Amino acid sequence: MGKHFRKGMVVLSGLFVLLVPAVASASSQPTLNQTVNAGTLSTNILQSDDVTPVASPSVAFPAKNVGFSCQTSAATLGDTNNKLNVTNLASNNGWTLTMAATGGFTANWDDGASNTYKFNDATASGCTNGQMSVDPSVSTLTADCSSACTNTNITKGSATSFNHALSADNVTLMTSSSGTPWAGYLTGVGLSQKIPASQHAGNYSLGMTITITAN
Amino acid sequence: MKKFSSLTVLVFTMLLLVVPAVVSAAEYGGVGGRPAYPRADNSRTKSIFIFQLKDGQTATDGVRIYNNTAKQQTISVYAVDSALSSGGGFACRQAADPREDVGSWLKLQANTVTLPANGSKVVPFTITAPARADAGEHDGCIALQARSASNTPSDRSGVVLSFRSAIRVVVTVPGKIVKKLTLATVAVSKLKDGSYTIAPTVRNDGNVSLDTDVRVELVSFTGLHAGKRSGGTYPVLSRSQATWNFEAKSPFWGGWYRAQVRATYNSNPTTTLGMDKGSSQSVRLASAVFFVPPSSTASFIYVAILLVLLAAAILIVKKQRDIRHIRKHWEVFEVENGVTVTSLAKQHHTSWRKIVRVNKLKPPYNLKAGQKLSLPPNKAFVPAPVPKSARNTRK
Repeated sequence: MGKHFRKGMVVLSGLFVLLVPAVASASSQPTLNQTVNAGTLSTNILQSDDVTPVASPSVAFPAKNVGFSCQTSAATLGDTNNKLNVTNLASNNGWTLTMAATGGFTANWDDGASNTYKFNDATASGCTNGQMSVDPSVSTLTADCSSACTNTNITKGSATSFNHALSADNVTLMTSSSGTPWAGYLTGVGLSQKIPASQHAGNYSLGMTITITAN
Repeated sequence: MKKFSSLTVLVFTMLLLVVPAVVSAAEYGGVGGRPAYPRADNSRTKSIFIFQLKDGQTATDGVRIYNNTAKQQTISVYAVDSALSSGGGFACRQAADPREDVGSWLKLQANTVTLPANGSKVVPFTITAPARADAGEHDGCIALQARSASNTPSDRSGVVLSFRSAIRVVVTVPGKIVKKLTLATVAVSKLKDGSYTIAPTVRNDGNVSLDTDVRVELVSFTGLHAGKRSGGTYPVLSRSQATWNFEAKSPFWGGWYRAQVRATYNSNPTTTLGMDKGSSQSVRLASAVFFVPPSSTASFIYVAILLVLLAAAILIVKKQRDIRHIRKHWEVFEVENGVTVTSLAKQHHTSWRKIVRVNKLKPPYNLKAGQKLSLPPNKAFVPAPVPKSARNTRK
């Protein structure tokens, strides 16, 4: 009797939980609340699950030996495990995704031991002081939202070399003309860096900031 | 077992209570912001800041900062000047860059905000146009950067990446406002996957940015539209050029095409950004005509049609030649008793069908003695053709 009673009570409490929302929705004073936070326009590097940000993201360039002539090292920004993601859930008229040196146009590749070379050489060849080129046109743009979400309003930037003399301190990776909610990512953005002749051996690094701007 | 079923019901009940809380904690988006007080008369102020300030005039406003992540975030907020990015895109200078324009006009009440998960907060600011500021548009940004998204290249090699979001700040200083847009070039290039990039370049020679509606389409040389139009509305910054790379699928049937571009903007100097009512002006430009190879399927269809046409032409030529040959060489013979079409065909080394066709015989093709028929000359048999004067005229 006692066991049956307890079981009956548990079942009744389950039914109560199921039925209460229905009763509440029929009430003249609704008690259901739902808050939808305003969306944001944001960018990040995500792992292959499209959700988890990559901790301390970076792009490694293949090592080069010290040489008597200018050398070019090439790398790729964005791959299946490092997706350059954009999420636009904000109401806006469009946005631009750009890339620039965190330290501004005076920034350098630095090995931490006073050896540096530049990413934005003012010479045409880029070999005098070092120059980085970015080519988003070869990248792959993938929409990653609902089936209604397409890349129609999004254009990829052109291949560009950083060159402070030409005020080329920022490179456009993507532009959108629409404020329609969209999420997606870029993979395979081409990067190449010209390393000046006889550059000292070392592990060089350069901070770059990727900015998404509502415009 | 009974305990198990009771436990299952309880777990189910608990799940019903807990799941909504889990769903509401799901992470959508990251750290971002927007104008806290958008104006009702200008929808553009929902996403960017737009001010019209006379020399020395100050305005107050606020930026609402959102943390739509599942963790508490400490966020840096700072103002910087704008910069022109490649292709004429709008960009923001870095925190390390000197501030000489709007970045120095804008004073935020706080430069660091700590927000709980899914929290938001307004950071008020003032913006003051300096005395003797140039008439026209000045641009800057309010940048937002979560500390967790800031990455310093201390102990790693390569490019070390940081991320931030920013909001454009537009300040128009009244005076002589010039709005002038020209379409400079339309470049067409083929991509590795066979599609095309149509890259129009427009030039804004005015002193304010122009929200420009750019429309691009591939038009066949005959004037028939080939593909879906693409384009959108983009800001073209003052005294600058802007280029966009619109991708277009290669037209299925191929042929000669040109890329046609139309750029439309509000040319009324009295309207400000986002208040684009009144007169608009369009500029048009087309690329040089270029050839698009047909797709492989279309090529197959083209080849098939060509082969059919070629076969038909060969048949027609052969038939004409045959007719000419018949008219020139066949002679009229008189049918003798007991002769059939098949026996005649055998005797004259030709097909009975040909005899039937040339002489327009009707089934069952019975021949009568004395009937005149056109037949190929037969040296070995029936040496006496009907004299020329006695021949029926053959069509």
